[in-house]
Amino acid sequence: MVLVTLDDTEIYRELKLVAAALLRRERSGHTLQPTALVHEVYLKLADRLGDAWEKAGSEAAFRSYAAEAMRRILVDHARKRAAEKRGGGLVRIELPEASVEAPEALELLALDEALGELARLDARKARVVELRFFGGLTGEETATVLGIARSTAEADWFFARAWLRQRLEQFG
Amino acid sequence: MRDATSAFERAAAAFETLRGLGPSEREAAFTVACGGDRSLETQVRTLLAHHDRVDDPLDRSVLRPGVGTLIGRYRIESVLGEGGMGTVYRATQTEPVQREVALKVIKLGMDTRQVIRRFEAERQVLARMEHPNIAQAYDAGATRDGRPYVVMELVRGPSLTDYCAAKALPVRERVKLFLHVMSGVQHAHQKGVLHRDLKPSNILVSEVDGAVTPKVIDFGVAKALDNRRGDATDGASRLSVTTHTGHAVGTPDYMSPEQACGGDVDIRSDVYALGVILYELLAGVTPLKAQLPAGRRGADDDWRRRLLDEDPPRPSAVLGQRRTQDGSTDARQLLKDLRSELDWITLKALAREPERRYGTVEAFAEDLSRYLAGEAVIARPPSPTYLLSKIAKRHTAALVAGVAVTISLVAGLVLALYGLRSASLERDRAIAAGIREGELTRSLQGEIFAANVLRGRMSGEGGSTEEARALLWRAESADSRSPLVRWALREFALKRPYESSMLASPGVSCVRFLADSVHFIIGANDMPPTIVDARTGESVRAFEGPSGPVVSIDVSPDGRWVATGDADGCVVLWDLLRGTLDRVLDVRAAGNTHVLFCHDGTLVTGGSDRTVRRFAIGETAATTRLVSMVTLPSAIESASESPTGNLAFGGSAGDVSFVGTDGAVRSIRPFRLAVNTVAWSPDGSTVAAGSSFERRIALVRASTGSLVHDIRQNVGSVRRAEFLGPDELVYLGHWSLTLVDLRTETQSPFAAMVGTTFDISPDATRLISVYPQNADKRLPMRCLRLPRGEPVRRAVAPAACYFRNPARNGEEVVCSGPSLTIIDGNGEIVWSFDVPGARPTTGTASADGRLLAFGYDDRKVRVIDRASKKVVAIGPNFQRGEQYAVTFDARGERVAYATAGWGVNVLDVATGTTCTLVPPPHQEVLAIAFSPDGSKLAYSERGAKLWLLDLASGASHIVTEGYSIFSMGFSADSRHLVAGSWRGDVLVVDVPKRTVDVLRGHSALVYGVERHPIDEDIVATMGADGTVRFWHLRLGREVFEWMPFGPREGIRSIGFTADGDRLVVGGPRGLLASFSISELDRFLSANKAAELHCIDQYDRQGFVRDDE
Repeated sequence: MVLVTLDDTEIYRELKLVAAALLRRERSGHTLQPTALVHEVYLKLADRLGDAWEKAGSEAAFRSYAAEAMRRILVDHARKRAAEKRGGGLVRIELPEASVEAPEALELLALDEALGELARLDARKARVVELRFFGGLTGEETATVLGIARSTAEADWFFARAWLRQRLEQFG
Repeated sequence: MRDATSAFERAAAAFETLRGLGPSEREAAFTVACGGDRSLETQVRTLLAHHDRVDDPLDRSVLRPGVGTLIGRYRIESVLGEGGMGTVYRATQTEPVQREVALKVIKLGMDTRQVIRRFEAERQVLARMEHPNIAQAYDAGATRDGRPYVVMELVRGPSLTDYCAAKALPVRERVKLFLHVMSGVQHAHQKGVLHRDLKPSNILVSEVDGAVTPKVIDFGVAKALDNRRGDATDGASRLSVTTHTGHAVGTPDYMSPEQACGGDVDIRSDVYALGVILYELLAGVTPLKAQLPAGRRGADDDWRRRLLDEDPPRPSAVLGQRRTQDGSTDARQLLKDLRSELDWITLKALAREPERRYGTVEAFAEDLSRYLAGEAVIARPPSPTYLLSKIAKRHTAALVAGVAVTISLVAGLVLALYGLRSASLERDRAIAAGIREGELTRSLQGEIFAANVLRGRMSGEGGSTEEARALLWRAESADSRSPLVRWALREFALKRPYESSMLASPGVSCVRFLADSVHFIIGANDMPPTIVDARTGESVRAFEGPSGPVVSIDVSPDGRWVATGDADGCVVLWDLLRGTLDRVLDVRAAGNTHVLFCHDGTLVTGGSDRTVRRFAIGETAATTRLVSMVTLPSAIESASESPTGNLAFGGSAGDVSFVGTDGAVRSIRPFRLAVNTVAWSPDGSTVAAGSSFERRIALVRASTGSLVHDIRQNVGSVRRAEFLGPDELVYLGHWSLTLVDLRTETQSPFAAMVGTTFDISPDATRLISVYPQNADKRLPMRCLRLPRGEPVRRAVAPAACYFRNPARNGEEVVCSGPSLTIIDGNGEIVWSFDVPGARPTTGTASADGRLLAFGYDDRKVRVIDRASKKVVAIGPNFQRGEQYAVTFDARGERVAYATAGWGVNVLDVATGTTCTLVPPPHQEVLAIAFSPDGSKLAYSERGAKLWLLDLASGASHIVTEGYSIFSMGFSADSRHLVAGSWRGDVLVVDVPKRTVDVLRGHSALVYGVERHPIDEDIVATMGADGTVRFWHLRLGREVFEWMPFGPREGIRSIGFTADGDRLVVGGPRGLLASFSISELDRFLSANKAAELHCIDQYDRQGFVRDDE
C-alpha cells in the first residue's frame, strides 16, 4: 500500500491540525468543514509526492488511514482531558453549552471502548464504523476501501450501529 | 468466548433477515429467524428497536459524512436515498442563509433530454406549491456536468406508516395526521398537480419541537394537469400527454386500477392512493396484501387481476384477523377504535371505478373530519338507526360535557364516576394504605379538572374558542386557588383565542382594515370586495361590479375609495360609501399589480412591469391623473409607505428599492429570491423585508441601505411582517404568528394562525389573517385581539445564569458569571460577591435564601452568607459538575456535592466539617438532591443508575437503571422524586412505593427540575428542546408547556419565586423571562366582559344541567 512509504508522523501531524479545528468548532460553534480539511491534507501530500500518489485508490487508502488516525487523536484528546480533570477513567466529553446534538454529545471514550469490544467480536464491522464515523466515508466508499460488496458494508453498518447504540445505552 | 462469538453471529444473521421487513412482516418472521431462542429474540428486538430510531448520532460522522462536494451553493453532506429518477442528498446551503436542504440530482446514466424535461416540469410544478404538508422547493439549477437538480426542504423523519407504528398511535390520531397529508395533496390538486405516486415512503413525518408535521415529498412523477398559458415549457406540456403510457410508474400496492391498466389518470387516482394509505394505517397491510391469504405474502404476480376484479376486505376485518393471530396489544387497541364508519370511508376511496370514489380529496377529508367529530359520514347511505345512534351519542356527550370528549377522557370519566360510587369502600382501603383523608376526593376532583383543562385545550385547538374559554373558566371557578388552573388559563390566554373565525368565500387573497378598526375589507379572486365585521365574522356588505383575480387591496386614507389590483394588470377604484365600482385606472400593465394608498391620498401601483406609478385621485375619471412614474430593477412583489412618505418596494429578484418623496430611487439586494413583504418601522428609519422562499427577514436601514438585523432562526415561510412598535415585529409564517423582540432578538410563537397575509387594525388592537383559496374549510380567516400588557416580562441578565431556589423576597435569582451575582426579576444587580482567582461554576441558594453554596473552578465548594458576604464554610475536592452537583438540604444546614473521586461529600455548614457520604469508586455523579424532610439523599451517576440513600440507616438502593439523570428534585412532601434524563424522559419516583413512572414530552435533555413551592403536585422541568413543561405528579400528566425563547433556544435555568407566583426562566445570552400568575389575573380580568358573555351562553346550552 502506498501509505507504508509515507512519513507516518507527518500525516499524523497534519491530521492533528484538522482534529484541533474540529474541537475548536465543537466549543465555539463555528462551522468548519472538516471533510474539506482532510481533503486538503490529502491534496498537500499528493502534491508533494507527485504522480505516484495520484494512482487510483490512493485517496481511499489515505482516508482509511485518516479515519483510524482521527479516532486515535480524538480519543487521546478526550482521555487527556479526563485525566486532567479527574485523574483518569471513563469520562464523557463535556456538552457544549446550548447543544446536545451528536456527535458532540456522544461519549467518545465510551464509543471507543465499545468499538474495541465490537472489534473483538467482528473486526470488519468495527472497521466499517470507524471509516464511517471517524473517517466520514459514505457506504460506497467504505465498501471500496474494505474491498467488500456494498450491500455487505451496508448490512455491517446497520448491525454495528444498532449494537453500539445498545452498548452505549448501557454505559449511560 | 466462542459462545459469545456465535451468539453475536446469530444475532447479526437474524437482524439482517428482519431488518428490511415492515413491522407486521417482522412479527411473523421473528420465530423463524431466531429459531425459537427467546434470549436471542429479546436481543434482536432491542437491536431492531435501536435500528428503527430515526436520528442516530453515529450517522453524523465527526468529519461529516459525504465528500464535501459543492453543487452550486450547496455542500453535499450525505445520501438520503435513491429514487427511480435520481439521488437525493442531504446538503448544506452556505449563503445567503445557512440551512440544511434536500438536494435531488438526476441519476448518472439517465440524463437523457427527456428526463431533463420531465425534471424541468417538476421544478416548475414544485415552485407553484407552498403548503406546510408539502416539502417546499427552494431552488433549482444544473451541476457543472449539466445534470439538473432541485433543492427542497429537508424533511427529517420516518415514513407515515413507520411513524404511526413506532408511536403506536390510536386510530383517531392516525386519522388526524392523515388529514394533514390530505390537505397537502389537495393543495397540489388546486395548483393543477397530481402526485401519481403517493405511498407511505413519500410521506415523511417530521417532529420539530413537539410539532408533528407530515410532509409529502418527491413529486417525482407529478405533472401539471393543465399547463396554463406560457408558464410551462414545451417539453413539459408534451410530456403531460405522453408519459402516462409506456411503463407504469407507481408501486403496485398504491396503484389505482386505471393506473395499472395504463388508462387516464386524474385526481381520483390520487384519492385511490390516499385510500390505500389510510387502509394501511388502519389495518396494518395494504389492500392488495390483505387480499392474499395469510402466509402467502411472498412472490405475487396475481396482483393485477385482484386489483381489477376484487374488492379488498374491510380494514377492521383485517385487523380483527391480525388480532386473533398475534394478539398484539396495539392491534387490539386499534380494533377498539376502528369503527364501521372508517371502513366505509376507506372503501369508498378504494372503489374500483373512479366515479364511485370521492370526487376530490376535499370530499374525502370532510368525511374523515365528520367521523372525528362524531357526525354522520356520507360514505354510506345513512339508515335511520345509524343517524339515531349518532344523535343519541352526541346528546349524551353534551350532558356530560364537563368531563369527556375523547375516548381516553371518557374512560377517565367512567373511572371517576365509578370511584365516586364506591367511595366508601375506597376510603377504607385508602385509610388502610395510610393515605390522608380527603386525598381521594381531591384526586378525583383533579381528574375531572384535568379533563376539563384538556378538553378546553382541545376545543381551543379545534377552533371552538368559546367552548374552550368556558371550560377553562369553569375549571378556575371550581378551584380558583390552584396554580394548575391559572397556568392552564395563562397558556390559553397566550394562545390568543380568536375574536372571530369565519369561512370566507373562496379565493380570498388580501385584506385591509377600515379606519374604524372594526370592519375590514377583503379582496378575492373574481369577486368584488366585501366588508366584514371583525367582531362577528359576518359579511356586512358585498360590493357590486365585475372583478378580476384580485391580488392586492387598499383603502384610501379619507375612507372614500377602495383600490384593487389584480393578476391581469388591472387597477379598479371602488366607491367605499356606495359599494360600487367607480372606475378602472389605466396602468398599462400586465401581470400581478399591487396597490397602495399613500397618506397624501395618492394611489401608488406597481407590478410585473417593474414600474411604479403614482396617481392623484380626482372625483371623476377625468380628474384622475398620473403624477409620476419610476422603473425598478425587478417585478414589484410588495410595497409599503413610511410615516414620512418614503416608499419601499420588494422585488422579485430579491431587491428592496426605496423611492424618496423626491422620486429618487435607491436599490439594494439583500435576498436572492422574491421579497414578498416590506414594512416600515414606526419611526420611518428601517424597513423589514421578508422572503417567503428564503425564510428570512432582513431589517434594512433606509438611510444607508445597510442590513441591521437578519432574522432567520424560527422564521418559517414569511408571508408578511409588520412592526407592532419600534422594537417589536410580528410575522406570519407557515402556521403561526411570531413576535420578534428586536432588543433581545427573541422570537415567541404568539398565536396559531394560518394564512398568507394579514392586516393589523389602525388602532393596533386587532389582527386578521386570510388564507387563499380557502377551499379547505379547516383553515378559516381569523381575527385576533392583540394583547395589551401580557403577563410575561423579559429582562437581560449580565451573564449566563444558573440559579435555583430564588431568594427571600420572591424577586431575586442567583446567577453565576465571573462573579456570583444576585439579580432581581428586572435584571438589576442587587448583590454580588467575588472570590479572587476562582470562578463559580454551579450552585444553589438555601431555601430561605440566607446562604449560597457554590462550587468553584478551584475545586472548592464555598458556602456564603448573603447578608455578611462572608464565606462561612469550605468543602474540598469538588468535582466541578453539572448544575445539580451542589445542593442544600431543606433547612440549609448541610450541603451535598459531587467530588472528584466520583463520590458524594456532605459539608456541615455550622461546623465547616466535611464527611464522605458516598465513597468512591462510583461512576461520576451527575445530580444530587436532599429530600425536604431530610431523611433521604438521591444521586445519579453516569453509569445510568439512580440511587436513593437513607441517611439514618446508611442503606442505599438503586431506584432505576438505564436513564442518565442530569437533574432532579423532590416534591415538597418528600414523597415523589422527579428526575430529568439525557434523552428527555422525566422520571417520577414514588419514594415509599419504590415505583417509577416515565413521563414523556421533552424531546431533548432535561436540564432542570423545579417543584412548585406550595402545590406539591406541580413540578416544572426545562429541556434543551427550549420548552418548560409543567407536570401534575399524581395525575402523571403534563399540564402544559411554555416555550419562552423559541425552539432550540436552550433554557439555562428555572425557578419559582418563594410565593409560587412567578416563574423565572434564564435563557441564552443572559435573557430572563418571567411570568406572574397575579399579573395574569389582571390580564384576564381586563378581557373578562367578553369571557363572561361566552360562559353565559355556554351555560344556557348545557352546563347548568351538569351543575345541578
